[in-house]
Formats: sequence, structure tokens, C-alpha cells
Amino acid sequence: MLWVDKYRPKTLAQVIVHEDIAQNLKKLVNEQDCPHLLFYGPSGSGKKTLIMALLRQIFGPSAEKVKVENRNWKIDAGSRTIDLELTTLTSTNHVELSPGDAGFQDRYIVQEIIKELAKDRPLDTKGKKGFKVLVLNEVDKLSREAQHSLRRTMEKYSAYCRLILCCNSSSKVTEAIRSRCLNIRVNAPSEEQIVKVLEFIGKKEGLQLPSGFAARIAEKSNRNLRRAILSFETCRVQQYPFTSNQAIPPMDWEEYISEIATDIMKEQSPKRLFQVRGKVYELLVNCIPPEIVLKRLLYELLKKLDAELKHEVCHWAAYYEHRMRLGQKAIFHIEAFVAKFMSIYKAFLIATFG
Amino acid sequence: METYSKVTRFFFICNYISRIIEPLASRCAKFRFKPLSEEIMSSRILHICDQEGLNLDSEALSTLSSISQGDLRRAITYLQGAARLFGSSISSKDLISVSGVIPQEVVEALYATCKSGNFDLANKEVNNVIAEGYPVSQMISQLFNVVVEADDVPDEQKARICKSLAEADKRLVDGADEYLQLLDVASNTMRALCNMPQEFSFET
Repeated sequence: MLWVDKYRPKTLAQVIVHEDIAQNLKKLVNEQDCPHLLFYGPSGSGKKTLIMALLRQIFGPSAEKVKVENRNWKIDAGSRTIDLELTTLTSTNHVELSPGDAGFQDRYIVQEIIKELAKDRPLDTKGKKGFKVLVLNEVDKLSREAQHSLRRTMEKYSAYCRLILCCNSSSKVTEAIRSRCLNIRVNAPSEEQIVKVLEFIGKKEGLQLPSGFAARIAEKSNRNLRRAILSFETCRVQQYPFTSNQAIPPMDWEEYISEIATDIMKEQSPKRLFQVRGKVYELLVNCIPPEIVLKRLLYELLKKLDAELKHEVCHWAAYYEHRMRLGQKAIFHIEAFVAKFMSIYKAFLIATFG
Repeated sequence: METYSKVTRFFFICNYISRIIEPLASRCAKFRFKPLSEEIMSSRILHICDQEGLNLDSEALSTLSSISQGDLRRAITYLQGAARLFGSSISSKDLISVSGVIPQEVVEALYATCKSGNFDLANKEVNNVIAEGYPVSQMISQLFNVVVEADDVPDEQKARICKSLAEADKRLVDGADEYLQLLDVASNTMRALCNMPQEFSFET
């Protein structure tokens, strides 16, 4: 079992990183009812962990007994029927799904499937907790229409169903939904907090941690706790006992992008652009999200550039990322950015060195 | 509407009368609702606090009225959220944390790095804002307030900054990446504040 899963806090009391949020959530559900919740924050900050711990707090251990279901839905949309396949995680009291998986048909999921799930109210003989919880992941990936339909569903079934929404950026969630939920911001843990968690895991595993080693992992992790724990475990597999100057293996795709950046800086020509295209394709084929490729490429390029060029390059990165979002094929836009960069950089070199 | 006027009456509710087509608007008697005044809002909020047994000091009350921007429903939602999370004694900090408004220090810090003219510093600050999970759309609207209220910035520079803010806001609505957009805004703001040339020198 990966350490990331093994040491994931199961209850709100065990949470180490966001203790204040955990305390507040506890208070929130101690009263009988709970409002709709919207968790937002960068990845690896612990949104999902908090949600699972919260469910356990509400429903007790039964919330952990989940089964994965792959169901086919037939939706009657007036003149035609639409077939949708969707994976859901269900326990007796909650259902979890990622409506974003359905792509452009996400509106039907929100309108029909959530309605169906929300309709059957759990019978609880003790007369408590007469509501079901629906956990929706990645709500920021939902289309506008789907978000508008969600708003209606939320109001209509609010008597028997509570929604817990989870997303990275709350800018992409419409105001109407945000104002109906209690917003909970989950910030990325600070480097000290990551060090604390790594030391905690090290102690549980009985490992000797040289001083400064955990701090270096934390620094490399970009304040992403999941990533820190994963690279900690990788280090453990590669070499134990740890030495204080042990190399922390970087992600291979990051290496690869750094290579691309070096290529671009070395030579600016159509031939080089063609080679770079091959490499970018390689990344996309391996399921690295295009915006992450672009962001990382910008990061690598900014490290190497003169101050006067930085403004210009970051402007174009923002410009092409926006275009990528509007368009269909990501490769065009990444390549356009690379070409733009080459032309700017070449002009800069000519102006400076003649 | 006209055929059934004997048996049916329509009540229309809208935000902007100008967006209702003229033939429809002319068939209705219009009632205009003005935004609620500050006194009415605060008296209502205090009434709710009284009924629910909440403790709200005057600083928290003024924070509440500023973050809700004259929207009573929003003010009540924030109040309820804060009451559920933090118990009966509510401070202005609690209200800010449930409303999703970014603390003023964070906005000021970003603005200060833009003023310093150091790109790497600004980049670091932008990274920090993203890692803290603050919504960038909110950041842009608060940055807008800071820029407009700044006394030491000439109008032309203000206009340049506002233009880039508007551009970024539109792109965010289209679903663009938050980090890149905020970085672009920071870079534009910096170039305007430090009187760097607006045009790029190496664009071909």
C-alpha cells in the first residue's frame, strides 16, 4: 500500500495539516444538519481527505464501505435517448461521481442522474440524518449549462440531499452555485507542515531521517503534499539509509520539458520546431494535461531568460493558453507558443549581439 | 398575454428593465426596486443576530456590509455560514473567511511587488496566491479596487492596468488557467506602474 493512502487521515481528529478546518467541520456536523459545501484549493492540499473524513464523521464507519459501480444510464431527452456510462462510488449514505467525465453531455448527468440519486431518500429508523450526501468532483470542469442545471437541482432536492462539491479553482464555478454553498478554502500546506508530516511518517515507519532531508523534499514538492509523500517513498525505495545529500528524483515529465526548454534556447529554426513538436506529442500521448505542459515550459524558460524578455514571454503564454481553452487541439497552441517564443528570442539575440 | 388577460395576470421579475423587449415592457406596470440602504441592511442584520442570539461587533457589521456589496441575501448567507462554523461570537475575520474575500494584506502584497518592478518577486507572490487557493477572479476585482483608489498613480497608468484586468477577467470566464492569467496581470501592472514601454520590443 502506498504511503499516501496508508497515512491518509481517516477521521477529522487525525488530521494534522488543516487542523483548524477540521475543527470547524466537526462543529458544523455536530449539529444535526449540514449545508451544501464547496471545497476549493490547489491539488495535493487535502480537499478529498477532508471530505472523506467529514463523511465518516457524519455517518460513522459505514461511509468507508464503498463499492465502485459502472452503470449505464439511458436518458430520455425528448426526441432521442442518450446512453451514458458513468463510474460512481457508492456507500449506503453517499454517492460520489465526477460529472466532468461525460464531456459535453455533462448537463444530462446533472439534470437526470443526480435527480435520480437525490430522489430516493434514505430511510433511517432513528429519524436522524434523513439525508444523503452527493460528492461531486471537479465541478470547475462542468460546462456553464450544467452548472445552471445544478443550481436548480440543489434547491429542489435540498430537503433530502446535501451536495459536497470539490474543485481546484472557484473562479470557474458560477456565482449562483458559490452563493448557495458554504465555501471552504483549503490552502496548500506550507513547507514546515509538509516536513512535519514527513517526519510523522518517518517515525511510524521507523526510518532515520537525516536533518534537512525532509526539508529538501518539501521544497521540491511545490507545496503539494501528495507529491512530497510520493517522492519520499521513492527515495526510500532507491536508497536506505538516507544520506543528507541524497538526490531527490524529479518527475520524468518535468525532466523532459526541461530538455525541451534547453532545445528551444539553443536553436530557433523550423527544423528545431519540428523536433520539439515530436517531444510535445510524446508528453500529450502520455496524458500530461496540455496546460501543465505549457505552464512547466514557461517556468523552465523564465529561469533562463533576461528580465526584459520575461514580461513578453509570460504575456504570450497566457494568450496561447486561453486560445487552447477555446480551441480543440492543444498541440497547435503549444506549438504556436514555442514558435512565438523562438521568434521573440531570435529577435532579442539579433538586437543584443548583432 | 393579451388574449388571456381576463383570466391571467403575469408578474415578471428581472434585474434590468432594458433587457426586456419594449412591447412586453409597455404592457406592464413597472415597479422599481432600489438597492437597500446601509441603515436598513444593518438594522435587519442586527435583528437576525438578536433573534438567533449572535454576538456581532461594530467592526464585523461594517465588514459584512462591505463584503456583501448591498446584497442582503448574501449578507445573511455569510452570517449563517459564519455562525455555523464559528459559533455565536462572530468577528470580522470569520466573516471574511466564509465569504471567500481575499484579505486586504494579500492584495496589497501583490500590488507592492508589482510596484517594485522585480519580475521574479512578482512571480513568487503569484505562486503564493495560487497555492493559498484564493480565487483569481476575486483577486482581480479586489486588485481593481486598489488600483482605482490609489492616489499616486496617474490616470493613464490606471487605464492601462484596468485594461489588462478586464482582459484577464474575460479569459478566466472562458476557462483559462488562473496562474498564467494572474501572472499576465501582474506583469502588465508592473510595466504600467514602472513606466516600462507598453509595446513589446521583440515582437515581429
